[in-house]
Amino acid sequence: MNISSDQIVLFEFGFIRISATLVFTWLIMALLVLLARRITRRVIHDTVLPPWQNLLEVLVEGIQGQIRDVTRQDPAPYLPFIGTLFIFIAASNLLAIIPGFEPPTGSLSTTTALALCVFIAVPLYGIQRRGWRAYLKNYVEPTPVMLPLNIIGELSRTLALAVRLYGNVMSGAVVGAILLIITPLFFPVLMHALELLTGLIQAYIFAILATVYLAAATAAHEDSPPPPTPLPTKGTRSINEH
Amino acid sequence: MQIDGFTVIAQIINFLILLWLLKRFLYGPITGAMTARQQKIAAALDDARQKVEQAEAEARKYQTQRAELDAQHDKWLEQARQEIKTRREEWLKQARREIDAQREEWLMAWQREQTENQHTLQREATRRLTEAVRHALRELADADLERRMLEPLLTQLRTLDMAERTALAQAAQGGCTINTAFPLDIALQQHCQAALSELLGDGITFTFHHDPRMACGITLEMPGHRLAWTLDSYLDGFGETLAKALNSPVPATSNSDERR
Repeated sequence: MNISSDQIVLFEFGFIRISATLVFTWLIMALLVLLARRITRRVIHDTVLPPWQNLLEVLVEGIQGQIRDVTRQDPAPYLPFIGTLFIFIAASNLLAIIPGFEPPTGSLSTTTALALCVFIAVPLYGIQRRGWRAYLKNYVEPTPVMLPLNIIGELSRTLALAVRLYGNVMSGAVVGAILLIITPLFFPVLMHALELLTGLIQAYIFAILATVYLAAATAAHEDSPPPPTPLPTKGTRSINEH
Repeated sequence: MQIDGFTVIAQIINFLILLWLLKRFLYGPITGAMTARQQKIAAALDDARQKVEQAEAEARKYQTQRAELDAQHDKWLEQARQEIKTRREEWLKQARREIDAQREEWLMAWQREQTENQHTLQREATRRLTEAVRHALRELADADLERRMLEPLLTQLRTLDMAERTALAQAAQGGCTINTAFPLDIALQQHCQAALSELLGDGITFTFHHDPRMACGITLEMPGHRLAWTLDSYLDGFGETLAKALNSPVPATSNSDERR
């Protein structure tokens, strides 16, 4: 039994090692791009929408809403990064329902790569928004003594991101395989359904945590704090609900 | 649990490629369509708001015009009522004037007819009275009426003073015309000539003339003088008395109090 799809090597030439992880990743990429291309080939600007375009708009608007809620900023700069993270992880986890499909997110290499992307994106967004000095100053606050701890915090949360996603997906696959051996009839089906829910939740958690890290890097230490959001009361809606 | 360095790098590259592709084929078109739709809806709402404002302005304009038209209508209606009232009064006055004129004309015609009837009745009554008087005198006095009528005339001549009789005698020399209502016979003419010659002198030329327009009587006409005795004066009084008896007073020519 292979715990990770990295162990399934389909092609190897020197240091180039094409594993099942990469192949399934490409399959997911191709599926997502082709689907998006097919739906958005004829974008309708009218108020009456085709169902698939309506679905994509609901998805994109939902992601924008989550980003806006967390960052209290315009979600447009973060949408491609956060959205791609969520869509890729969600698609990878949901496609695990297909027999024989090994989700790339069950590979520690993949989750590490995604965590590294977040690790790199956080300072890039922070520097882009606040500048070098202001961003680096964030590491020596409240006192320079905190510099090592802050650096360790950055590394540890990246590691936590990678391991959390990998652990959840891999454990689900492993538990499913074990249950399939012990009780092959009914119980694995329920576990697969639970894995779908778990996979979707993991995608959401990964994307939300990445958003939180970006928000912390771009707005958490600004001189003037953002205005408090009015609490939603009965009969009213807060801005974040839009 | 191990991490493959090549796979990590490849997955980072894959993620970046996927990010670029989705940005190119998913986020861009979808957010563009959403933005375009929001702008379209905003434009439609703005257009609807402008149309509502225009409609409200038009409604206010029409309400103002309608109020003006109502006021104008009331004004015209009041003017028409006043004009109708004025013309009605004018036409009533004109009709009353025409009626009064026709009534006046009718009354004058009726008065003329009454007068004519009265005159006719008066002449007829006079004629009948004369006939009756003539008949009565012939039967009672056993003498002709003409002779009786000549006696008062001769009495008048005799009662004249000398100066007047002299003036008449001088005038009679130019001719004397004797007018009677009835033709005089020869004997009476001779009696008349003899009596007049005795009073006025001889050598007078007498001319007897029969005038049927006279009711009854005898007139003596000379140049510059006229002496008469007729029943016309008596008959005039008789006619008035007869008219009163017949209850036919002479109507007034105009009486404004009787218009209403």
